[in-house]
Amino acid sequence: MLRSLKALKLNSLNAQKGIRQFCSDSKISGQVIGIDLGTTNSCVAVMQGAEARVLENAEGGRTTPSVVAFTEDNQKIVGLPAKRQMVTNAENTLFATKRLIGRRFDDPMTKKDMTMVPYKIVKGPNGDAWFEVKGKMISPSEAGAMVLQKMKETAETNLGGPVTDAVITVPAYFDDSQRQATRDAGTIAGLKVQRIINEPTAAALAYGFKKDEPKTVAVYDLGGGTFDISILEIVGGVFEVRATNGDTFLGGEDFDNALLEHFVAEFKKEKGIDLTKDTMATQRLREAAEKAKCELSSTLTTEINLPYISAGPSGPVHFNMKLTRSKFEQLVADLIQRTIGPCNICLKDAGLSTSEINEVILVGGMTRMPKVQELAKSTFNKEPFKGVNPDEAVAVGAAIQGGVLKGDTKGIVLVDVTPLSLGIETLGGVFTRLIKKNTNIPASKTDTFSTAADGQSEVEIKVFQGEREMAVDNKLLAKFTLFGLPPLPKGVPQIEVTFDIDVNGMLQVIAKDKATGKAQQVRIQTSGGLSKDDIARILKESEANAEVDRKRKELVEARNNGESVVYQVEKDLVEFKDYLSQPQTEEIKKAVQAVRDVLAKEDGSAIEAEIKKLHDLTRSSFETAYKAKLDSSASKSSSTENKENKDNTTEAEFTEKK
Amino acid sequence: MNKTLNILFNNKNFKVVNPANIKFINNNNYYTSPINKYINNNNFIFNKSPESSINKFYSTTSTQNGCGNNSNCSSTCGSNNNNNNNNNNSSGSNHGSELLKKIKASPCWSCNEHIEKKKIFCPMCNKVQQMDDSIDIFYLFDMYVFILLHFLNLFLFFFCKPSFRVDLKDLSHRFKKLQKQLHPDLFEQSDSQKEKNISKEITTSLNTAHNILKSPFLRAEYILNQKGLDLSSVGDVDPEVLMEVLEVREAIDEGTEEDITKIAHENRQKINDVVEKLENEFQNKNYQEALKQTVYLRYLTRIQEEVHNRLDTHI
Repeated sequence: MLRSLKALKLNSLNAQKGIRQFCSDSKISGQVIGIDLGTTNSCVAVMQGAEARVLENAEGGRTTPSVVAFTEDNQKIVGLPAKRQMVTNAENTLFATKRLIGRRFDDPMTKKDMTMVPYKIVKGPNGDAWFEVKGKMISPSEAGAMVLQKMKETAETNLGGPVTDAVITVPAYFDDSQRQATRDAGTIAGLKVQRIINEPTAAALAYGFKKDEPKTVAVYDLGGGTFDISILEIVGGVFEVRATNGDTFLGGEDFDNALLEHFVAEFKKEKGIDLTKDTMATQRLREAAEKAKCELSSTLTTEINLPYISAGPSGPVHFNMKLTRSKFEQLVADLIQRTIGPCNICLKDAGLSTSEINEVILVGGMTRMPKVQELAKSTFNKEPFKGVNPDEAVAVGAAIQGGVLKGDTKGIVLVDVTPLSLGIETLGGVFTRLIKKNTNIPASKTDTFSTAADGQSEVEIKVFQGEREMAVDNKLLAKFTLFGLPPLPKGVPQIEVTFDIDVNGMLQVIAKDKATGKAQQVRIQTSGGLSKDDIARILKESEANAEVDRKRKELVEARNNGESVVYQVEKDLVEFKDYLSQPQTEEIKKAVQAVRDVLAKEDGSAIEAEIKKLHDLTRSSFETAYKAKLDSSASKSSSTENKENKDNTTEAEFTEKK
Repeated sequence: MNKTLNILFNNKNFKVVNPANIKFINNNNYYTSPINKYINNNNFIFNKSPESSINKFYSTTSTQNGCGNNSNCSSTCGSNNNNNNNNNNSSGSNHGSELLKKIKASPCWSCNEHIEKKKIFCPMCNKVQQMDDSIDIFYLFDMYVFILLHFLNLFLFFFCKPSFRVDLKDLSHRFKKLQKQLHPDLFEQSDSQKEKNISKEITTSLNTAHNILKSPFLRAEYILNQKGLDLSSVGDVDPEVLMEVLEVREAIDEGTEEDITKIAHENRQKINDVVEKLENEFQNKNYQEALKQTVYLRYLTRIQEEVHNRLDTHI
């Protein structure tokens, strides 16, 4: 029975106000890119012909660091350039923002993250976790949008045209808020998000594409920030997810952190200095930790050398330490061990034993670690398959799904599941499931409930997502109130609640009184963390910022052009000085100085004007000088010929010159 | 036969499908109407909240464990949804309605069993019904008979064969084959919103049906519901069964992991035994006895789920 809470009418109105219409009828006119928006690195791919191709970014990398930085002059940079300047600008550089997307500020994981990163995490206007950079508030969706925009630009550069449609991946165990926040990020980035698909499913798609043999595969996905395990059956082009489980706060960033803590502790023990008080030193150590982690996947020992890490009473102090693979494995053993639980639960939910798994596919950068591979092997009693590129498989799979949605790729169907149970709160705060976890989508379920008090005239429907038995321990997705129930004894009214999940994973909830026919419904989109107004504001700001960025780009190009022209003119002055009159030389030098003066200013147009003036001035002068020089050269050449016709005696030649 | 042909020819709304324009699902064509109508029926059937019975069981168990007032413990109550959504707007639908009405009206020619909401395939003896009429109607489309029959065969066989014995591997393959033809992703670029809606409805029904058919308990409950029997109508559960369930639950609460594993294997064996009995009862049409066995299976299934949750292992 529903609890008879007297909800304010305003609550329902607010819930209604937040509803956004997700347009599922949009036609796909261009190509659909697949984007793996990863915690640490992102990747973009597209179907070309019958193959999926990974696209390279401006720096030539096939993956792009998911890093966004705000520089001194308030410029925004994304990717590898942002990562490079992190040491000197740590407070204003956002990384691993995927860990906070769609999370509340008071979420325990948010508290944990605050202790791990140098940037500032604050409470957003709606209670979500946001970032504060240079006094400005940024939502995780905005940060994600900046990375997605970089991926969009990468795709457009490679494909030579605009890109609008995208399939974006999320961890399989993301809840509804996290998925919606990711979709919002796509919208802010100017993309039409055709589908949100799960990362392990996408990886399985990349693995099973064009393979005809029926197989049951387990996808073990340990990335930068999240862990997912999914079990799928692949038969004749149909990829059916049997079960999925995971941990949305377990990944490579945690391994880096464990190493960082170890480094700080050892250094303090040896030198007596606490490096965590120095942001730059900590950031250098973090980078070194990540590098060491990667190296130890292929070597048994690595050395960390960081000169001038700090200053002590007796002068500069250097960081120098050897680290063995076994020591590293010991430090992170508990993290690796945490992946076993979800694997076992996933097998149980799928109703399978390890002997029925045909293949274990490793996905995510952390699966390169030998210890991780050993654990995956022992958990499933099977040597893992290593033919899939752990960094690119997810984006490739997303691109394939894009081809399916566009209608270009035939014979492939994904049948995914909802990772967490969905239900409502009933009497006593009990969570009553309507749709259980690992139910194939699309899915629909109807149950009938009743009132808990005599004469109750309204019921509040609170929609939750999770696996705990008490509703408050789960994630609240939405709430609304059904009004106007006729006054009847408790237990008599019949309220029919229907949950309907479409293939995009979007949930619609309908509550209906069977006696009066009154109905109330809500499409669950309000909990993405950003309201409709938020997104509109961000898009407007984004356009303004785009204008600012364009002007800044013009300025930089103008400056480069100006410096190039000045250099060339000065070089020409030296070359042609014998053929120019003194007034001409003076005039040109004055024009050069004018260009130099204007280069220091922030006016791209002024720079261009001065360059044009200098160019006009020097064109005719240098042309004349060039001709004069040509004549002189011709004369010298003639003189040389004359010399050859002489008697060829040195004395005679000497005499001729005198 | 002739009479049927005459009726069809005299109907002004009847039109012949142009072969060049045939599509897998085309709502403008007559032949999809029976499917459309049938889907609605099935959607209704599968939304009759089979899960609610499990919830009732849970409530009952809670009561047995001293929860107090039974009404306070009940979180749901099962209810029949009589809102049968029929689409009467298109002429094709009328023809579909006629076809289904004819099919429903006849008893199975093989086992003579009268079945509510008659299916093209008799649920008890798996014989195709009214083949004469069907053949005659399909024959009008000549070269499309195979396509239509093929589709109907796959689809209806999957839904309409509630024979209790099910090969899970075969079920899984049929499910995937149908998904490969009907999944909404395949209609993403369709110009017809109705086609998309039908695809979603079908696939939702497919998923629900798949969940029911692969579970012995839900499967048995479904067949009994089709026969008009409801598990909640069983007034008195065998006291021996209740005693057994209580003892097992106590053992689970107090036992070690090793004890629980042993209980799980024993319970799995009991489930297998009951499933075997149910196969015989349904084969012999002993529905009352099947009802009792299904109630027992409900308890056993619930115990197994409890064990799975404690051990995090499937047994």
